[in-house]
Amino acid sequence: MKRILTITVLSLGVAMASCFPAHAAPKGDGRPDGGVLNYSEYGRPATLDPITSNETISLRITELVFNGLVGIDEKQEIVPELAERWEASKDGRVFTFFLRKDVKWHPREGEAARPFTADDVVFTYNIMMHPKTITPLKVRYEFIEKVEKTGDYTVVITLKRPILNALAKFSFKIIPRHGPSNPQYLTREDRFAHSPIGTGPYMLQTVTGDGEVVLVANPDYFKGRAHIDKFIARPFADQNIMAQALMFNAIDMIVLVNPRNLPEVQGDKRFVLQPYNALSYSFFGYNVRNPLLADRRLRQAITAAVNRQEMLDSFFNGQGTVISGPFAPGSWAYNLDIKPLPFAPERARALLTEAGFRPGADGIMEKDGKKLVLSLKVPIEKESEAVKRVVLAFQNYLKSVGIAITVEFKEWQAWKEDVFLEHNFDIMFASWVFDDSADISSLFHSAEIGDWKNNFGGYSNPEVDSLIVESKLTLDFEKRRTINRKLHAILAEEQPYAFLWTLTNYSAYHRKVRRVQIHPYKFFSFADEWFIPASEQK
Amino acid sequence: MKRRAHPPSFAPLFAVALAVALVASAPVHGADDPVSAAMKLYEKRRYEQAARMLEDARLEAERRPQAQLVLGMIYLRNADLHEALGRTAAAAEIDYLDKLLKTRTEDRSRYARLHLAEALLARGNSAEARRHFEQVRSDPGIEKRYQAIAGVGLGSVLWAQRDANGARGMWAGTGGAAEIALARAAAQGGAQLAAAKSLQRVADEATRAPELSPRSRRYLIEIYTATGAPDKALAVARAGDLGMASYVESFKAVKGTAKSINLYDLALLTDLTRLYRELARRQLEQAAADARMKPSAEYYLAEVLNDLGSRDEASTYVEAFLARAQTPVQYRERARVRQALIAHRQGRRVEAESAWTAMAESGSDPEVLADIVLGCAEAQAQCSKVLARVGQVTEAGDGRRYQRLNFALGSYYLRKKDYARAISYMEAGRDKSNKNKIEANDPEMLAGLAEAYYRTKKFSEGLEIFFEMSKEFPVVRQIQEAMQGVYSMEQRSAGDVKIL
Repeated sequence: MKRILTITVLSLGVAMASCFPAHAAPKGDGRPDGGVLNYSEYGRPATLDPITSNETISLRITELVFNGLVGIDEKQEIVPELAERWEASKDGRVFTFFLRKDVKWHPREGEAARPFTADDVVFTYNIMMHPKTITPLKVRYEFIEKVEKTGDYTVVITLKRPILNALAKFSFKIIPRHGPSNPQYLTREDRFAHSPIGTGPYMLQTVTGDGEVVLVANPDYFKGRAHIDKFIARPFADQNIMAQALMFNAIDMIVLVNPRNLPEVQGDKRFVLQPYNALSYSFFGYNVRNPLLADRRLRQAITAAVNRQEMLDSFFNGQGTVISGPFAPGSWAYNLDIKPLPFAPERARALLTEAGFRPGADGIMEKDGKKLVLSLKVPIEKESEAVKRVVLAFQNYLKSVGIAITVEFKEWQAWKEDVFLEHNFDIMFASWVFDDSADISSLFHSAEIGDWKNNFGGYSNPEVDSLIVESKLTLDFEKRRTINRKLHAILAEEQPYAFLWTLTNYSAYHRKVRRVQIHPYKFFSFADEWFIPASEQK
Repeated sequence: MKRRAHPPSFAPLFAVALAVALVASAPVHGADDPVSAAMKLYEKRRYEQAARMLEDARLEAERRPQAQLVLGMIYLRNADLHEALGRTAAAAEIDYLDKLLKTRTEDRSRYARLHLAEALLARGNSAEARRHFEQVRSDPGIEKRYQAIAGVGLGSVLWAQRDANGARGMWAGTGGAAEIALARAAAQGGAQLAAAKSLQRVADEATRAPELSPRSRRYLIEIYTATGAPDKALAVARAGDLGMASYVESFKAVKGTAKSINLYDLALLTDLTRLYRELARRQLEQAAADARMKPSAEYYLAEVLNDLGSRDEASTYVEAFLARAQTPVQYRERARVRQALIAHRQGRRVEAESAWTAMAESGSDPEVLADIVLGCAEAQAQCSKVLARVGQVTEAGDGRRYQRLNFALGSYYLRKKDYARAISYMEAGRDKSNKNKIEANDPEMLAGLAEAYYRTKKFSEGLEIFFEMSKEFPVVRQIQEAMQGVYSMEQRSAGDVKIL
């Protein structure tokens, strides 16, 4: 007999739905509406849709514009969003979602708002999984066998196999069937990717010539209109200027404070510093399509030649931690037994010799008559003073062991094309930020090699592939931990990246913004609850 | 209440004798002077290095009392830290072990129950511990020796429940293998049921083994501490890796990767706390024999003895300190705060809380106010007037000077389970520029903050703190593993990764 587990909607949710079935809905919590929140970003978003994006600038905006079937609250509880309730089969393979009937898509100019229905859920899944859609989401949703509409407001999702933490996976954002110009697959060239409509608390109003993204409160938001009238994302190329802008009240919030500015901001009682996002790290990633870099010894030599602790101390005031592998130290998956490789230039030289390199007349290593010269590409948005110094130091450390590095700073979009599309680089500098799942499959599984995919370096190791798959298949938490510890150990040895450090991550905001809860990864998940007292609204 | 000397302000503020001696000695002994060097390490919270420096120092007889005083202070702070770590560890480990027991996979941990029982016993929950020990004893899947160890644990439960005959009977009935004998000796030492010499003989015998398991090591620390041989206990603690799992439970893999689970002894933190307090007491008593060091040593002795449960002795030392003329005002105030705490623990709650309220309302020294709040926290007292007053002071104050006061308020709310407020205060006091560095932030505060983050399911923030702390204090590994375990089970995420 099939036993159904029913999770009923929160009573509050029922009450709100019945009170505000169709029209503009204030939250009714007694807090004032109004005000504008200007926040600084370190660059412009590449896209504004939740499917093709792979960076946090876009993520923050899409969090304001879209919703998932379910949400995850600050207590790590799964809560209803577009689905008001759901049922799971006993074997954990079939999930039936009962959708809210009071949700409307943001209206396009001159059009009436359309209702959200089961068709949109099916459409989202299909377009996400279409072979021509370039998205890092595919690898995350390969466990879904099919998504079917069984009524206008009912969707059944069948999994190929039960998985750990399945419900949380259904927090992916739903896009409208009438959104993309091409209903088959989505690319970054589609108008929807730059001018999206969603169901979320904020609607895109405009993107200015300066790259400012202006979002306004959705009066018909199904959880009640967000309190703050407007969110404006303002791109800053230089992180140092952000702190000045905050001090002079030109902005109200910095999503990521430059570590150097922390003392200054902490010393000013107008602002609150809030730690978040402990699950990120910086790295130099290798393109192993280059036969030289395919040799693990060269990769290990590079890491051994670089004094990461010294760079961290000198350029970031020691405000971080050197790491040993593919997980951040704040993750449950970090293998505490694996210590970072020590700074050992002699070992670096020995490894290079072992790999067949010999010093040339100018001190640069050579092999088969070719000099060991590698290109390093760095996105210009990361061109903060500290990153420049890191890059310069990296170059010098490697020069001292006979490796020549040519550095190229590239504009954000051009850098991404070079790295993720053309794969035209030897080494790149970047930082990843993870959600709590510690899922590294998109970074290191060989199936993730390809255009716009996250395994940009073309790293392939059957043992790693097999462990990643095993980790996804297991229904045993402790086994998954064991597997991840093993993955950490292998990748620390293999060095597909030179794993650098995790930095202190703080956001800063003006005290006038109240009730601020920051999602550790998505940032604005609870922003509809934030408010600014009437007396402090500009 | 734990009185913590705020490092930058310590020397000028207190210890007439100590300060004079330190300052006077500096030009003579220079930068290599072990006492000065140890003080510097102490200020950076590098307690182990600081202690070793003084333990190994060859000092002239005249300077030994000073070194003993400083060493006593170092052990004392180390004890406080381990106590704080024990509280945080208890939160994470008991949750983790409980979750392991509730796991419904085929390869369910069997040994989690034994460790949970021991953890519950260490935290004073003997009723729950009893239930688990009994289940372990009757579980045929558990090795005999661990069943016997559960029997010893059950004896300790009975002892805690005042069933002395039951406890004796349980201990008498356990087998004789070395580890079991040690477990029994440790339990009897804790109950002060056997002669110290005979218990030490058991321990000495065990130390001849070529290799000691982490569990045996823990028993030895407990036995030697309980029988008045803290030096031996310290040697045992230092000889091993305090971050090692007590038991690694391995499972056979049907296919793919074999699973393993690391299980730890929560009681190790309790034992280390006791050990460092005993070491502190001994050093401070020796220092107090010197007339110049006596006032300072007595001040700290009152704290140690209070924490060791010797209230009357503690009270005598506080009174002796207060009876002296020429002691710094701030330290007199702080001694009065402690006096009230001792009174509270002696059952004179109204008197204690009135004293704290009066001091809070008439004073504004953040160090004294911090002591009062910490006293309230430790006594689990409401102290509403104190908090109102301290809240005003904190709101007006700023900077490092108020760091400890923010920590005290955070600790108060942590004990009250108001985690949001605990985080808010501790974050206000946290040096953001070096947020996880123990030189900049008291590790006790960091341990409390990590617990508050853990309780609010901000696991990565807590783990990040301990990752850094583990470099100096390997014993936090057990907290890291437990937090990681709970985190892996509790997190609800889609599996996303983006470019920062």
